[in-house]
Amino acid sequence: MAARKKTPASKKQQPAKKKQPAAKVLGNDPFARGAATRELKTAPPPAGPRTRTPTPELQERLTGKTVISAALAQRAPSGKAIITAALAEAPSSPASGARRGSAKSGAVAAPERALTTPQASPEVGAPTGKRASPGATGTPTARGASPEVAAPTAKRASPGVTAAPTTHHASPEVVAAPALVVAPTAHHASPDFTVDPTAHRASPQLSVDPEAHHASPDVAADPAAHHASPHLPVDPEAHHGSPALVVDPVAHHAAPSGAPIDGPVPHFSSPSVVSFASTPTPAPAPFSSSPTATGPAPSPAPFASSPTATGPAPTPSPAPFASSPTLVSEPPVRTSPTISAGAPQPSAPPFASSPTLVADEALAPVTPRLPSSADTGLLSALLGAVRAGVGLASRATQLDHWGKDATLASSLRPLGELLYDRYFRVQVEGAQHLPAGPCVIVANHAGALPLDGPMLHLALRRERPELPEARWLLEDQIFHAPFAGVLANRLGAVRANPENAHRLLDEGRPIIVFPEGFHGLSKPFSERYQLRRFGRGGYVKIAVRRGVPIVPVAIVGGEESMPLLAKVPAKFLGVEHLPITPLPLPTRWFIRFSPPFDLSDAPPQAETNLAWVERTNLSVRDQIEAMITDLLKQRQSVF
Amino acid sequence: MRVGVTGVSSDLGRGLLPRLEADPLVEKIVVFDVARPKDLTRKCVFVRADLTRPGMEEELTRSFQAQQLDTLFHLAFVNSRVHRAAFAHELEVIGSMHVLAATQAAGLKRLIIPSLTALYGARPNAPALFHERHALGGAGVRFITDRVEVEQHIARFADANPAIQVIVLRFAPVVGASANNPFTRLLRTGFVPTIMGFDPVWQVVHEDDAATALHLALTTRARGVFNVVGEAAAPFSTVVRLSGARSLPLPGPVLRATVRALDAAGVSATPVAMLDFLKYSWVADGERARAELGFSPRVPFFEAMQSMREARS
Repeated sequence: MAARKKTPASKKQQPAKKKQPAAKVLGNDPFARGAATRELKTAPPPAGPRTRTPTPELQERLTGKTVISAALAQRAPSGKAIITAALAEAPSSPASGARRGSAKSGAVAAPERALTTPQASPEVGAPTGKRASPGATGTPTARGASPEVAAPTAKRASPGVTAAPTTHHASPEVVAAPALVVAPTAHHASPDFTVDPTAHRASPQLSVDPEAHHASPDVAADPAAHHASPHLPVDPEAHHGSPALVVDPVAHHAAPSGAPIDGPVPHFSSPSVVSFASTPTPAPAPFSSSPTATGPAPSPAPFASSPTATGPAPTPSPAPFASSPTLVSEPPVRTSPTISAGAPQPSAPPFASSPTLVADEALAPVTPRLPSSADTGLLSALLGAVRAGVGLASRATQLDHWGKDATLASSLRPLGELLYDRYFRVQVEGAQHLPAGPCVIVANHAGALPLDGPMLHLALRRERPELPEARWLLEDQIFHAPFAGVLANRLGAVRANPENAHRLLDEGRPIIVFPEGFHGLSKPFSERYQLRRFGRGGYVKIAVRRGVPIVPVAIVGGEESMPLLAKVPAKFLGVEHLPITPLPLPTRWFIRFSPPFDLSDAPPQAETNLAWVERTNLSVRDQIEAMITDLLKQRQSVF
Repeated sequence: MRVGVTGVSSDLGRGLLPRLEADPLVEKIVVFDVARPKDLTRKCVFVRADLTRPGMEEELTRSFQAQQLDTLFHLAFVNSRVHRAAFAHELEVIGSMHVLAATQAAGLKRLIIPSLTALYGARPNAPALFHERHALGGAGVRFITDRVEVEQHIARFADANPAIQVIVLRFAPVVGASANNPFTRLLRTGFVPTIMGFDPVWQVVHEDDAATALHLALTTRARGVFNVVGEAAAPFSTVVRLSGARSLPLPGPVLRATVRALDAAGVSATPVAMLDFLKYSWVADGERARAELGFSPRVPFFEAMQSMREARS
């Protein structure tokens, strides 16, 4: 009920907010008008009316990202440091013992099932909440930080542990390795990939002695400062949530960028990425498809890392490992957003061989044609896309019954990865909130061209490769537009209609809907990020009828990427207008998943209760709007 | 089992006849046609019948009873768009009504009628997959609306005569070396105009599979409507390419104007509305035929198209 009451209040605030003077504009938007103009001081409840812990939690999530990325960065590019080396310096027995114990208990406490529904787990939730409230302030206690982190880690670790328990338990040194903190599973699984301890020792920034924290988890406390920093929210959940964590691309994008900047920190270049990729090592684990393997990695710094926020990053260090948070966090934080191009990551295998790719094809009848080299592959893929769009004989011999051309989609995937990793540098938060089963993912349309569908789709594939492949629904205006409609259909778009939605859910797939529809794409640039009407709430009816959760998603970055400069009437082509927009600009994209929307208050026969449907529709919209506001506020730079 | 077949010289009839001949359950095949087909087999008995003639239902009833038929395949459809639309209407709609009346009067046990998935129509507001329960559309094309009318008669007939097992098979476009229907004729012209920027999803079914489905209907316990489709869906451009033809993408307005002009001039019998089939996907769900009829396509998509290509050369 309390949540319900919030709704009108927040709604009332909206109009007022839009009228805020430019003085309140966040420093991030050079174009500073429209929805980007938001007041700074009050953080709108990002989680919307029905989530329990709004702002801080979200911030934490952000921070968590940063941390992870930092950690990854550490592990990332460098050569093949050796865990054993790390060992030498490593504190060893007590730490390892502790870690082992915690890992085990964690595994026990958190069955793998928990992976799929992270929010549900009390251990995670409770601490998070706790920390969240004070966390906004400067000093989170080590305690606060550690338990939550610990829990996730343990959880995450559990699959990995099962895979190769011996290796990782066996090597206490691993504990010492900073990289360890981030992806425990990774090293456990692959002893071969080791973190270079020396390198990291060398770095001046590593204020914390590895031993120190191994020995005393409290050390973790000192990084508290960053917890406090609003820009660097910590999100332990982010990784713990699921195997996705392992897959977290954002983190790994961040890595390389951080490295060059922070030069001093050698361990950035640690092979951790590789080890990451090989996480599933001994046995093909569920997360086998790691982004690392998939993509050419690097992308510039995480948005959380602001130049100002140079402070040590939050360390969501997985507690069980006793590894110090400080270690992990520091370097990445330094990454400045200015660095636009990520360094190519030598260690990353070509994406052609990415397991994700293969997984993608699992549902498709056709085996993928893997491009032999990136260049020719990309070219031919583009050519294929053009041919498919024009309606010249496409190479596809078979489509699935939705019209998706698996061959074309997989050959275009490198291009998508390129956009995702290097061009838009998409950063994803909260992917662990996605439930394992079918669900309705509701997102805002961003930009004049419907690129958000493919990007969100790619984010799902990379963050949660274990989920069935999602399909996104497109309104008729786009779906039946010449060229674009065909191409979208070949890549997996499905015409938006309730029957198709039900059928997709029947197949167990998540569906992605953009309730704003065509209106969301025809906003002038001055009205960017101002959500249009959310249709008639059809997705609410569908979700409640099927009993599947609704996952609100905010996408930020697309509006500046593809500003709608003008509209050319194009009735003769069967569409209302053609957008005039520059080629997509290399803005930074953020995608934030919120926890599933609570539909438990649904009355019986909810889908016929129009008032309830409308109310829920508005609440979801509010929640997405709040997330957008929050993301805009946290964003340091458009590019 | 004594089986009657109308329209035995149609594509489907020619495919079905050998199977009935080889089927030990079939004692006798009674062939109804306006002219004696050349290659009648051992079990066949020929009965001359012109379904368009008034009063035909009484003649048919007498024949059915005299031959002691228990099953009838009604395959006599033009299955094409022709200039003589009035004749097509007589044969398809009126002829079917005669057959239905005779079936009822003679007390047959089973009636099997082919139809088309094209009857769902290619529409912008259609679901991605047509299920048998979906409404039939296709307004604006005589060739389609006649068949829709036939299906409506059949549906009412089936409701009113629960004792008669009525089976309707909606076939995707039939392809194959000997298939001869508007679609295969279009492919055989060598150049197939398409609408630039559109490439709808199509399905085809090989003629052998189509005949198999008909044959399965002879013994199934299921009743009602079944979509009979091939194993794959493919872009129209791919269908064209694999058949050995070349697609010729034209801007929609240009193609539309051309087709309208040709139609008005009487050069071609293709109504403009048929262009929707080149614009919007129309994919039917073959799940029910698989589950209840036991039909699964044997000829892979690629081979089906290969047979078209070989027939050309």
